This record gives sequence, structure tokens and C-alpha cells, in this order.
Amino acid sequence: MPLLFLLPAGVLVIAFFIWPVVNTILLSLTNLSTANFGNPDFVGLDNYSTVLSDRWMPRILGNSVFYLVATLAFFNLGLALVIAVSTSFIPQRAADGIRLFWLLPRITSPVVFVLIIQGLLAPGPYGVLSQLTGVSQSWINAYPWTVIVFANGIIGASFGMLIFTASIKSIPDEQFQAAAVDGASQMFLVRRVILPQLRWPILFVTAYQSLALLSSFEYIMLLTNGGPGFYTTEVWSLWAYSEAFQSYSGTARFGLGSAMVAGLVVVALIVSLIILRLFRFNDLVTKPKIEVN
Amino acid sequence: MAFIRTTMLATASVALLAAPAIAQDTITLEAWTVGPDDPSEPRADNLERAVEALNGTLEEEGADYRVEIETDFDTSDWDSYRRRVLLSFESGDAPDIVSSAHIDVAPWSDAGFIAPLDSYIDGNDRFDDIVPALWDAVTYRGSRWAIPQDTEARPFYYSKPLLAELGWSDEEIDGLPDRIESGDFTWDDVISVGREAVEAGVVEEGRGYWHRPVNGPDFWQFMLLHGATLQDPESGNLVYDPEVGEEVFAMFETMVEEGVLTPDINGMSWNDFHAQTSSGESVLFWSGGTWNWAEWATGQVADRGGNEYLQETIGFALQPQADADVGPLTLSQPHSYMISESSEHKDVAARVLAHAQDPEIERHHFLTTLRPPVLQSSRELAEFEDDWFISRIAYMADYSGFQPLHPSLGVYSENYYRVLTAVEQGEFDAAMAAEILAEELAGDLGDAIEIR
Repeated sequence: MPLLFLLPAGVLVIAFFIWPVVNTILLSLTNLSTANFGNPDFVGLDNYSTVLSDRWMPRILGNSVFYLVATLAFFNLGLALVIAVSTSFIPQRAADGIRLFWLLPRITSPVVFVLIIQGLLAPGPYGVLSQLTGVSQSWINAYPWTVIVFANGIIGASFGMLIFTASIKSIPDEQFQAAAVDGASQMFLVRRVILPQLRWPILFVTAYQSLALLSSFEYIMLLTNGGPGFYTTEVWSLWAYSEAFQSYSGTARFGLGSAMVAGLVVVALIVSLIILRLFRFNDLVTKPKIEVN
Repeated sequence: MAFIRTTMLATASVALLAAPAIAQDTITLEAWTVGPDDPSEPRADNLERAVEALNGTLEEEGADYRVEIETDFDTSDWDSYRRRVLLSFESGDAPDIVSSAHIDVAPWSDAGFIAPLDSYIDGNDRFDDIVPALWDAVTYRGSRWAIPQDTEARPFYYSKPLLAELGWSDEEIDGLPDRIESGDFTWDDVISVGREAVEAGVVEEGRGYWHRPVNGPDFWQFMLLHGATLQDPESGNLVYDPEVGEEVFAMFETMVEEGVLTPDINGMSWNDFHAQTSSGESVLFWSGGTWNWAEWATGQVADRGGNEYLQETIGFALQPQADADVGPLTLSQPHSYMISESSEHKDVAARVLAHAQDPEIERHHFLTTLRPPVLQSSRELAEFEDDWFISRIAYMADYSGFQPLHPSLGVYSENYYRVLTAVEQGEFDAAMAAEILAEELAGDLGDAIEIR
């Protein structure tokens, strides 16, 4: 009987999560491409050795890690915390207005958002920044990483902001009042009252956003497409996408692309484990030593 | 019951004999075509005209069927169009006729997506009108897989007012195409005049010469200009010669170092590129395509006078010589119609394509797109002689190189362009770039490429 109730969800999970993973792994063992679609050959681990022996693989892996850490630290966590904490000390209406403003980039379509960024950063006579500074250059080409981290970050910040705001709101008022009676400054409140109670949400946002950042490449693709130059801003997921699907002549190598995506799954697992260790996940889920009623 | 059926059959036969027009089959074909530039719409329209003409012929022949065609014209971009076509091929439900660049013949025929057309071409003398050299561009592994639909050239464009500002006389400006054709004005001159223009303040830094902002066939021209062989005629393998590669990369390295070419060109939007070049006000030299002329006339400079403005402002020539043994040249990527292997009416589709080989039908295409026609009889039409632009670019066909037909050409091209952008960004010097490209190609293509 319980199995029957699990069936609908189970079917969906198998069809849309488990089967694609299995299929990807199967595909990654073949040389499937647009040129041999009817009859791919089994090539074993050749695709994996191609990926691992690629001389630019370390650079692309490094790029992915840099992109992940920089975007997370500065924006998805850092800026999100700053907005959440600072807006919890100002009047409700103003705070809501500020948070709504930060949601705008997230509800803008990625393509439109990138077009706006490109318009701001284009060389003269059109680019806004070129006009303001008097230096006519393609700012995206001049500072590709800064632009990518910034563009992704101001979108990513809103996610953490919402979660952290909700968590701060759920901290009982008595704690703030008690701290105020003891003469705590606002900085002290943030350090000793708010942040310790945000460990769970911070863990969640870090883990969730890391995986999201690892697999998302649409903003990078639209802004620089991995350039300018030689894999300057190419991250792993974009590399897999361009190897598998993007080519001027429509030649796509699905087998190789699948191997790269399978590699991405491994990278994602490692990142998740590091995050869980970093936050001492086991301590977080141990039973509380005293019962609070 | 049997009696009734017999009677009905008899009645039907009588009706058929009496009025052949009443009981006809209609064969519906589907055709996908692509610009992706808007003016190329006749690629779809002309098939509809060809079907009309074919139905006239069928009526004369007393055939018991007529043809209808559903056409689709794609204006997205090459990548998404090709993907759409590939997916339809894979589903086994592809349109009967597909138009695409001739280079797609290699991967698509290898995959068994398109049908060889030799028997249809040989069996229909309407195809004899096509310029013979163009068949080379659609011949692969000994068969012809496509029908050339138009051809093109990729001119070296220049801004007349900016050259005038640099002190060139009208005669010198108008004589530039001849000087380039004779090899008197070479790529070294492009660089030195470009630098002169930057130093004199005629153009801003980095606007002496521009190439296209994203990867595309244009870049093969620079390999060809330096004498590259791209394919081994014996084995059919792709070929890369690092020495030639180094010369090509050195040319672009010099242009960036001298401030003639900005590395910011890579990744610039097409709209920006066209707006800046077609105005003739801010970029001195650039490489483009003949089809750009129609785009600019109806788009970027339409409100300045379109065609007339361009004729006064923009000049065009072959891509200048970089190696005296090779001379100036251009690259052509003929567009062509293919018939899918899954089509149930290959013979009818081939007859439609045969009826499209009509100078009257083709005229409509070359006058809207300004792409040189593929029919010999079209080149004798008065409009062809009279068209200001087409008559002036016709000679470029004699200097035209093609891309090699090979299923992995795309991988070669992506690697080549990526290394080139790295050179322009100052990441590699020319010698290092030539070597890296050799390693990348060997790693990616294995036996399919010969590194010399």
C-alpha cells in the first residue's frame, strides 16, 4: 500500500532524474555524434580520457572553482547577508522596498538582463560606461571575470536575501530585547545573536547555490561565451555544452559532451561533501541536549 | 455487393478517362530554407514558383498528380537552424527539401540524412545550366549531394570618405580594387595605411581593420591567402601546416600591436559591427560578405539613402594578397538545396529543384539578395548586367576558394578561431599559437587531420 502511494512520485523521479543520469553515463561510453547518429560505436572510457588529458582541462576546472567561490563569497552569501541583516534594522516598509528592488534582476529574463549589461558596457559611442568614463572600450572584454561575477551575483544575491530575511524574522524578539537590556551594540547583535542562528540557512544557501552555479552557464555564454581569447572564462558546464552542442557547422559530439557532464556530477558531489564537512553537518543534525518547550 | 463494386469501379474509370483533371493525386512536399538574413527569403519563394511551373509541365504531360509545397524560411541563426534540421533528420520525419550551406553535405551525407542526386541531375538537362565549377562545392566521396542555389563572395570593404580624409585622391580610391586585384596593394599596405589612419586621427585606435565579430567561414580566407592547403585530395583528410598558421597569426598579432585592429572585435554584436562599418564614418577597412550590401541598404543606412549612399561611401575589392605566390582571393560558400533520404517523393522533389533552375525565377533571388546567380543563362540577363553591385562583384567568382567538405570541419574551425582570438587578446605569440593549434587539432581530430 505505501508503495502504491509512492508510485506517482517514484515514476516521475525515475523518468526525469534517474533515467537521464543512467542515459548520460551510457551515452558517455559511445562516440555518438551528428555524423553517426544511426549507429554509434561503443568506445569505453575514451571520452573520459579525452577530457582528462585535455591540456586546458586544469584551466577550465580552475575557472569553474574561481567562478563558484567568487560569486558565492561576494554576492550569493556576502551581499545576501548584508542586505538581509541591514534591512532587518530599518523600518519595515523601506526594507520591503529595498528587497523588492533586489528581486528585479531575478525576475528579468536572462537574455534581456544580459542585453542591458552589454548596453551599459559596450564601447563608445553607445556604451553608457564608456560615455561616463570617457574611456571607450568593451568593458566586458577588458574585465570579463568582474563582469561575469557581478552579473551573476546581483541575480544570485536575492535568493540568499529572501532565505536569510525569513530566518532573521523567525528569531524570537525576546532575544533581541534581552540583548538590548544587556547593552549590546548592533554589531554585537549581528555577531552573537543573528549569525549563530543562521547556520542552517547559510549551509542550505551555500550548498544549493554552489550546485546551481556549477551547472548554470547561460549568463557566461551570453556575456563572453567563454572568451575573450583562450578559455578565459570557460567554465566546465559551458565547455560541455559547447563541445556537445555548439558549433558553427552543427557538428555536435554527444558522447564527449555526456562524459563531460558525468564529470560535472563528480565535481558537484565533491563540492557538496566539502560544504557538508565545512559546516559540520553532523553536529547540526544531532539531537539537542536539552528539551525546549 | 460484388456487382455494386464493379459498377462503381467502371464508373470511376470512365470518369477518369473522361476528365483526367478531376481525379488527381496531390503530392505535398515540405521544404525548410534559411537566410538567416532577411533578404534571402526568395530561397523559399522560388520553390513555390518552381512548383507552379512544374504543375504546368505536369498538365502538359497529362500526369495524374499535382504538387503542393509548404515552405518555411528560418531567420534565427545557423546554429539553431542546423540543430532544428538535424533533429528532424534524426526523427525520420525530415522535410523533403532542406536548404543549407554546401559544407553541410559532408556530415549530413556521412550520417545518411541526405540522398545522392547524381541520377536526378544526369536525367534532367535543366541542371546543365548551373555554372560547372559550383558542382565541385557539392561533390563529396564521388557523388553530388546538393543543387547549388546561389554563390557569394566575401569582399574586402573600405570607407571612401575616410581614405579621402587621409589624403587619397578620387582616382586612387576608385582604383584600389584594381590595385588589389593586380597584387599591387597587399596586406602589408592594409596594415600600414591602417596605422597611418590611426596616427592621423582619421579613425580611432583599433579601427583600421575589422574582421567579423564571431566565428565563421571568413577566417579560412586568411589561411588560403598564406597558401594553406586545407584538405588532402588523395585521402580526403583535413590538413594543417603550422608554418602557415604562424604566418596567419603573426599578421593578426601585428595588426593588434600596431593599433590597427582592436581585440574587442571578438564578441561585438553584429548590430554594432554593421552599424559602425556601413556608415563609412568610423572603420577604415573590413572583411565582410556580398550579402551585407543588401542588409545595409535596407537596414543600417536605409534612412541615409540606402543603395545610393553605399555606392558613394563604401568600396569593395578582393581580400588583398598576403603571399605573392597566392595572390588576392575571396571565399565562397555556395548555398544549396538538398533532398532528405527519408523523403517519399525524392523524384518529385528533384523535379521541383529542376524547375527552380530558371533564370526568371533566379532573377528574383539575385536582385533581392545581391548574391551572384548560379545559372549561366542568368549571367546573360540584362538585369544582371545592369545591376550596379552584382556586375561589379561578378569577377570575384574567378578568385573564389571553397571550404573543404569534411564532417569535422566545424571542429577545425572552432579551434582555429579560438586560438586566433587568444592571439588577438595577447595571450599567445604567433609561434606558440601555431604550435598550440597543432596540438589541439591532433588531440581533437586524431586521424582525420594531417599536421604537416
